Amino acid sequence: MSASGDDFGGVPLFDLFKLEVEAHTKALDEGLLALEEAPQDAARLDALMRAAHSMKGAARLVGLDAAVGVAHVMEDVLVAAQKGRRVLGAASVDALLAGNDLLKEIVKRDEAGAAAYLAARAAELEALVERLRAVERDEGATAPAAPAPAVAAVVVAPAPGVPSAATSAPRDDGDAAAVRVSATGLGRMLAYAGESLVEARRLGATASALDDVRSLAGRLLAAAEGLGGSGGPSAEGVRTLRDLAAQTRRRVASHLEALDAAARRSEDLAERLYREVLKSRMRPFGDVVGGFPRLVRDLARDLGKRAQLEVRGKDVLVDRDLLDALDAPVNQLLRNAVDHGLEPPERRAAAGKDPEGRVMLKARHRAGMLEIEVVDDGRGVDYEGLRRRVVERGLVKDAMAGELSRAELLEFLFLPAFSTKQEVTEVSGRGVGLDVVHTLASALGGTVRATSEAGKGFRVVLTAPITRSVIRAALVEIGGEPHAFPLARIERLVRVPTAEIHAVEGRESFAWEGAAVGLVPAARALGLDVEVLARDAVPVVLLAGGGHLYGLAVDRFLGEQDLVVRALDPRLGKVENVAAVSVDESGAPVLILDVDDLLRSVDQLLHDGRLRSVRVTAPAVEASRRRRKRVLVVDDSITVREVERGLLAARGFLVDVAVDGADGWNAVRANTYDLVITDVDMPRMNGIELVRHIKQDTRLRELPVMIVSYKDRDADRLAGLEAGADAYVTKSSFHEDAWIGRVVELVGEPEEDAP
Amino acid sequence: MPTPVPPPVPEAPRPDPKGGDATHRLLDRPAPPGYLEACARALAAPLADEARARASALAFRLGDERFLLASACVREVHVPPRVHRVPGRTNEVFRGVVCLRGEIHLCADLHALLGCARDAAAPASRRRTVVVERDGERWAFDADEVFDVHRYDEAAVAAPQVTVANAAVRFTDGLVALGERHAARLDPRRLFEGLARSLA
Repeated sequence: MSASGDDFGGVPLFDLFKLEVEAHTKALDEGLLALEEAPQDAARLDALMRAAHSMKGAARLVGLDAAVGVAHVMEDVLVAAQKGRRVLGAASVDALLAGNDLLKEIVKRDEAGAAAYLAARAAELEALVERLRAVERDEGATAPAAPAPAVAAVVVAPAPGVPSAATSAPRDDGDAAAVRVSATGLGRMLAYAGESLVEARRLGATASALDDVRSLAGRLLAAAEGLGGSGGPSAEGVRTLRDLAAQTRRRVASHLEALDAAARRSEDLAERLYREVLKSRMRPFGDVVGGFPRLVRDLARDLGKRAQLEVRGKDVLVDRDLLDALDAPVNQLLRNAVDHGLEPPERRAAAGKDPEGRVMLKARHRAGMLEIEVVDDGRGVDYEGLRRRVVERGLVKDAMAGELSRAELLEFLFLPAFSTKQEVTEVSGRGVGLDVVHTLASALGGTVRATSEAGKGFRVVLTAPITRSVIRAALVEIGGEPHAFPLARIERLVRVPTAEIHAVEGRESFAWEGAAVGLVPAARALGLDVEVLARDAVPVVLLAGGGHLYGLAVDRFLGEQDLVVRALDPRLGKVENVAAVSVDESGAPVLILDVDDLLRSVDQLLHDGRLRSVRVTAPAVEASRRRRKRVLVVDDSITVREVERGLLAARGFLVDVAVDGADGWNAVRANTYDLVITDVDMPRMNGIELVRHIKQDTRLRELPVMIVSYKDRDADRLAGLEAGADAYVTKSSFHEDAWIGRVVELVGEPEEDAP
Repeated sequence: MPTPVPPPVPEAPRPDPKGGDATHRLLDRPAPPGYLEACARALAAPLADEARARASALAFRLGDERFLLASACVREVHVPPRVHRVPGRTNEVFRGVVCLRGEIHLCADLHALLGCARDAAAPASRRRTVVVERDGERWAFDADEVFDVHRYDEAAVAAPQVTVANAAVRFTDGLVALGERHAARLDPRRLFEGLARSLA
């Protein structure tokens, strides 16, 4: 590859080739689909022909001859269509798309990888070129009824229902390191940066202009001293003095005005620069949807269905990291909609629907979150069938299943491998891969909800934060230092008059909307030295968690601000109660607090206070010689948590609970336990990760862990045990006595003599 | 001093023998008398002191002790910023996080790590925050005073003595003359290990 190593304006040539091919293949994907609708659109044909032509030239520059060949014949086909010699039907569009896919595959690799990829597929390439040539020569005679197997291998669209590595994997490793910024955006940033440089220099000039004020003041002083002579101040002296004073005032006023204007300009400039840089992190939602119409079309064609994808909200701006991460779950949802949601055309016609199914993909901002909705007008969910299935799978007892609401039933669809068998798909019309969506969404800090009306369709709403890089936060001072609460996690900021705070059994509380709210100094919850300030009213941050309100007393409120979220230094590991770090307007560090952690810390403080007071009134002599074993239950479902807690407490164990993996991880490090019982699917840190963390920690390695999960496949069990769990119990086979038996097997009787 | 000239390139294939004749005659002419001897003398002469002082380190003061840290580890020196404690992590050595030019750094108390007394009398205006880096790990610490980048001769480094502040000796790998006094040279590896231990 002769020219390949060359740099072009500092950018490796192959990277330029990649950029060009990425842009052109995207245009071809979109254009070819549109062409199917209007095969003789001359302008479009021309644009597509030029795209193919450009790719041919680019491929030649980097010396990928095989790619040149493919692009060349694609160009020929399009030229033929342009000249009216051919009308492009579905089969020709398929062939062109296959060629396009091949080019897309090439640029997913690095230079050497691309050459190797092409070399390994010489035969397929030949078949593809032949197929395109056939299209060019004569459409009808050679259009294959079904694509030849060799060629099918080049097509990226995988078998229906199977998540495809090619489409769900992150596009390109290079993406993380390099960010593509629009030329206008970059131009604007440069302009702002240049302007701020000019502005800074102008400030220097303003400062030196103050020299004349100093010399005026000097003359003023000299004149004032001259007045003090014998015989009292002369009229002229006073006039001079007054003149000088007036001059000084005028000068100071004009300088002040100039300074004020400079400050305003700098602030405005800095603000615009900041916004622009921030915007460079955002991309329109439309950027990620490029391949989706194609996906829906191909999938429907393979399944003998007819489907049309409508995309709304292409302009909605989303953080680029998030956008990449959204590709996989949205892909899966669309796949589900076409495969399981939409009925075959004849069945749709029989039901009085349009034979062509409609799938809608909508994106919008709502309440500071990004909401992505995938709606189909297919068969929807058969709730009774689903209910039967849940009982059959032993997930819920028969009597209880009858009481499950529709929303609760739909939750089961998000369990892994809930319905893999065909008949289940027939019954529920849903299920495959939804667990993947659930997992991906929770990894983004988002949620998934489903709704459906039988016979009318299915709707899934995926909610995720718009960006992970900027949050709106309330700044407060705790222990003399600035800390931030994400605004979305705060109930209220209130000033509670000291007189309204009551202390009962060493716990402080105040009345808020008719309920008593426990109050804890935030510094104490964070484990900082508490300095009690005497004051009339206490600034309190109200947080809600688990149906309770908690009050955190802070030093003072500092205001509201957008904060750029940065990860804490990885060397610190997970710091309890702290989520991230940022920088405030004065350039000082601010810790962004982890509200879930804090709620637990506060709860514990309130709880501990109560325990202490109980101990004071009734010291249990017996307890001092015997030690009760302590178990930590980690589960995000309050029902499961309470059931397990009840069973363990009844057997005589001391029980603590944690609401997710991260919470559990904090707890195991803060306290000493004899056993940890954890669920697998949890937000923030899942159970497998928790087990792995525990088993990799030298101090905690010996701590037994039991997993209790809905996931009952062998693979799930294996994953749990491989992570280091000492036991794996499935919720479907949950028998109270047997389970407690397993617990005692692992840790022994709940009480033992203290060492 | 005459500049040594590189030896002539061995016979190279001549692209165009006709056109290159004059050039080759010029390059192939013998060296002037005495030239080679002068070159040899110049190369054999001992180096001046300043040329031998190849090692360079940042000199700074903690309390009464003076220290050197290899310049390769030093990133920047700043006016001390405000330190924000990190709940549950801040301890005697690890002070918290600081923000310098928009970047967040971990901040350590080198006085505590090295067992040096704090110089309460030193004017605050002399105090500086030094950012150091090794293997991609960055730390910031406060020094009571930062002098300059000191150049010294590696051969003149003396073995560390126990007279150096007791805790500091564990982090020191030699003594270097600094004006009339000695400065303890810090071993970057041990220093960074000590800093990392403060987080455990």
